[in-house]
Order: sequence, then C-alpha cells, then structure tokens
Amino acid sequence: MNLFALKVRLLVALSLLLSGGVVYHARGGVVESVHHSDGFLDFASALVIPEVPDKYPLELRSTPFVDIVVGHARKDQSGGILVSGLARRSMGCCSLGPNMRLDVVVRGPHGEVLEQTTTDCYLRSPGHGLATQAHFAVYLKSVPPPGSSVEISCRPR
Amino acid sequence: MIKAHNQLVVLVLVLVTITGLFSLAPLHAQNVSGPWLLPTIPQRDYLAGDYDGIRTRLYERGVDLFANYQGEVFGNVSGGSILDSLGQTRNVVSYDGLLTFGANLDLGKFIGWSGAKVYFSVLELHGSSLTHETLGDIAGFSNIYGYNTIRLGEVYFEQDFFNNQLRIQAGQLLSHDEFFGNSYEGLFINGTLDEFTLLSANLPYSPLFPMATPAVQFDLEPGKTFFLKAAIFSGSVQAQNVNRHSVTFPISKSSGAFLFNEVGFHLNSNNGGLPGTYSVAAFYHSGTRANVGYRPDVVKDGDYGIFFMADQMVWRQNNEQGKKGPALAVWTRIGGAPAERNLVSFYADGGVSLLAPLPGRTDDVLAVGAACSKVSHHASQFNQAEGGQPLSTESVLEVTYNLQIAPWWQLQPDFQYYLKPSAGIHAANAVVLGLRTTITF
Repeated sequence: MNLFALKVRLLVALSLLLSGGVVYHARGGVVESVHHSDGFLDFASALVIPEVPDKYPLELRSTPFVDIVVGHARKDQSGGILVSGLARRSMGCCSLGPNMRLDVVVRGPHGEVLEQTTTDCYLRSPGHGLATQAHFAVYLKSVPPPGSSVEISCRPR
Repeated sequence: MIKAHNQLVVLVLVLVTITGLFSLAPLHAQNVSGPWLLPTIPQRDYLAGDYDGIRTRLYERGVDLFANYQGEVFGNVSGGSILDSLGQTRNVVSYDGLLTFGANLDLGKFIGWSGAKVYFSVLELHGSSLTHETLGDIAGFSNIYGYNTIRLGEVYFEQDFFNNQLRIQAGQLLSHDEFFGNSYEGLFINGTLDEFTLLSANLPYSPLFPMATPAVQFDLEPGKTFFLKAAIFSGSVQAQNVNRHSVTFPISKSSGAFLFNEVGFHLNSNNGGLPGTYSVAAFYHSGTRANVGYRPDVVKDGDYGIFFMADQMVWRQNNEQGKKGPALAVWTRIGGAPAERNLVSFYADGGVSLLAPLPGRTDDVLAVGAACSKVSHHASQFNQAEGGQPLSTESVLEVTYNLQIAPWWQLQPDFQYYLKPSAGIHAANAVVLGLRTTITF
C-alpha cells in the first residue's frame, strides 16, 4: 500500500470516529445537569440537531449598561436551579468600570416575586476588538413552580 | 504571483458574501420559524461550552477563565508605499491572528477578601503584516498584529474602595485598556482608530498593545458622573523583539516614567437619556527624547501630548423596557504633540456607529471611521535629508460591519482606504479589504 492510500484510509477512519462521537452526543436530549458535555462534539451535533429550549422561560433584560446576551436556567444534579449565562457591556455604555452587579428575579405564574438574588460580575475586555463580557452563575434557593419565569439583568455596582 | 494574490483578494470577497448568508441565521435558535439555507448556529455562550461543567464550578469558587481567538485575512487591492524592484506597488494578502487566554480571580469568592481581584492574560501572536510588506503606513492596518511570539499580557492586582468609587490596579498593565478610548472605537480594526498614532507613532516603546508594563493606576468615579484616571508606567519599555515574551520587567531611573491622565464626565449615565462621555487627557514621558528627535541640534527632556475625546449617542429607537433596538452614535478624538520631538504633531479622528442596523440583528454594528495623522515638518525635513520624499498627512477611512453570528462568534468584513499611506506625498492611495473572525472558547 502506498503512502497516499494509507493517508486516505487514516482520514476516513478519523472521520468515522468523529461521526460516531457526533451521533452519540446528538442523543443527549434535554439538558438536565450542568455536568453535561457541550463542547466541540456537541457543537458539531448542534449543526444538525436544534438546541433544546430552556426549561424555565427567561427574561433577559438589557440595561443602558449591560446586555444579558444569553442565559440558562437548568436543574442541577443536586436538584437546585442554576442560572448562568453571559453578560456583555452595551455598545455605547459609559465606561463605568468593570465591577457590576447581576440581579436574578424569579416570578411566579401570576407575576409575583418568589425570589431575588444578586451576584458580582466583573466585566473586562481581554483585548482589542474583544467584547467586554463575563460569565455568570448563581443558584436559586428553591425550585420555581411550573409557569414561573426568571428575569436576569445587570447594572453598575 | 500578483495574479494569485488578486485571486486571494477575490476569495476574501467570497467569504464576505458567505458572511451575508450567515446573517440570515436568527440570533436565538428557539425563534427559528422556517427553513434556512445554512444550518442554525448553536447559540451557546462559548464554543467550548461549559468545559463539561468545569467553568461554572470554577466560577462559583471565584475563578473566571477566558480564551479568545482572533484571525484575519487582509489584502490590498491597490496602492501602498512600499514598492517592488520595478518601482511598482505590490498586491499582498496576509493572515495574522491572536490567541488570548487567561483568568480573573475574584478574591472575594476565593478567600473572602472583598473587592479584590487578580487578573492575568497570555497572548500568542502570529502571522504577517500588510504594513510591513506593502502599505508602509503609520496607522497600522490591524490593531492585533504584533511580533510573532507568545508573551505575557496583563498581570495585575486590583482593589476597589468606597463602594467601587475608587479602584487601584498594580502590576503589569496596558495603557490603552483604560485610557484614550471611547465607547465605540473598540469595534474598528485599523490600528489608529484604536490606539491612535499620537501615541503609537510618537511613543513606539510605550505601554501599548502588546507590551504590558509595570504600572500603578488609579480610577476615581464618585457618583458615576465625573471621573479621574491616572497611571504611572515604567518608562523603559523595550521593543517587542527584545523583550520577546514580556517576562522581563524593566524599570530604570534613567528611562523615566510614562504618566497618563484623563479627566471627564459621563452624560445621562443615570437617567436613561442618551449616553455620552467627554474627557480631556494627556501623556507625559519623563525620559530624554534626544535619540528620537528630528532636529539633531535640539535635545529635550521629556515628551508630552494632550487631546480631547467625546462620544455621544444621538438617536435611539424607543423600545419596550429591557429590549435593545437601533441606535446611532458619533465620536471624535483630537490632539497634538510637540513637532520637534514627535513624528505625528496633530491627530484627529471621528466616526459614526449604527447599532442594530438591520431588523432582528440587535447585536450587529455598522461603523464608519476616519483618521488623519499630520506628520511634523521636522520629521519631513529629516526624511528628505535622508533621501526620502517629503511627508505630509496620512488619512484612512474604515467601514466595517460587526456580524454577531452567535454569542461566541463574530465575523467582521472590513474596508479601508488610505490617502497617502506613510504620509509620503508620492505614496499611492491604497484600498484594503479584509475579514476578521473572533471566537470565544
């Protein structure tokens, strides 16, 4: 077997391995835990399988200072609800420094406030042309009843 | 060879077209209402996701990891000031990239030390430069190109006081991250529309990207309206190819120090009106400037510059509370430095940014900016004495569109037009096309 044929066979074998990984991860279904794998293989599978919507309706509220770009509210393995996501400084926001406070409000089915919690958020651009943003994660003290919604917003500290 | 290069420029244009197709993809996957030509891009926070839960677990303990890659292909369709052996301008295509990774440690969560942070970043720079190969411009076609190496970025300790009204940072810092910028210029790719030539050309060995330098910085913002920033940096910043990994931390009395100051105020920062920021800033280098002076008979100690900056949102579509919408903003920076000690004696730039320019594209930005760098007559005389051409003013126009395909992925087609690159009066005006991709891992 010449070298070219060997390279082709290795490439095919590698493709099959990667395909197998994609199929395996595409069977994942509803994400119930933060301890799931949502890396590159999941990325590949998501190209053909739409992502599953979050379990709790989320209200991502932009302020003049910070946008909540993406948010999740998921049940952890411990049974608690983890609210996480990505906060990014609004384009045009006054440069008020990196220290921000993130607010999470849980509203019941009738709009009543069931729980409020806050956490610090440090918005810092790592370099030129890179968004000023930060990851956030906060646990709720209790599991909201069905029909609840979760509001996320961020403001200067 | 030139034909091949032109084909690569065409390839860039094809990529830009594909970019347009991608823009059909909705920002939030759950809003998909019909079939799309291209597969829906996953709308997760980061390409690498939650590192299998590690990111969130670390965050809970105060460790916030980050990693970004920026890559860009640029080509000049015409023009440039560096000529080939036949005296013709050269069409060149270049690729360069920057990997930035690091961590922010919140000592409050980590060990209960309230208001304290530790931050560090590492940079890996690679690729070639249109500036060195064909443009010969002062501005720099890209704000992420640098000497190819892995180097330490910023490493600092930060403590805030009085309910975050005073922040002090100490460590290895970059000046531009806190000074001389505005709320909108961060989008532009051209170097001078980011770190302007009044600094980058006049202070070539200064604490600008990617050369972080030992420094102490103070940020005072009482009441979130007025602000005062001051910093002192080591004056003995070395060249990128000398301090190749930024792991020597030169401080010497003979090299003096860089002082940076900025004072200004935020308009409508608390009342929901159209936000704006107005400031006056200055830099001072206490070291001698004799070795970079343009008049051999004049030896001066110290160098300085002063400038005014303003950015203002002028229109914003009213939306229901908490929802983003289209907005229009303008900005400008104007400043000067002593002509006998500096290459650029007068500088002005400005631009317009249109946020959310298309329906459903709330995170996209269309931006147009222009900059003029007037070369000092001393520098022009010096250049002529060395056998070069007279120097006047280099101007550059940039039009760019920041396409937020997913929270973790930006594509940015870019057009730049240079008038007299290098400021040489005989330099051929240059057209530059490019595309940058930014991925957050």
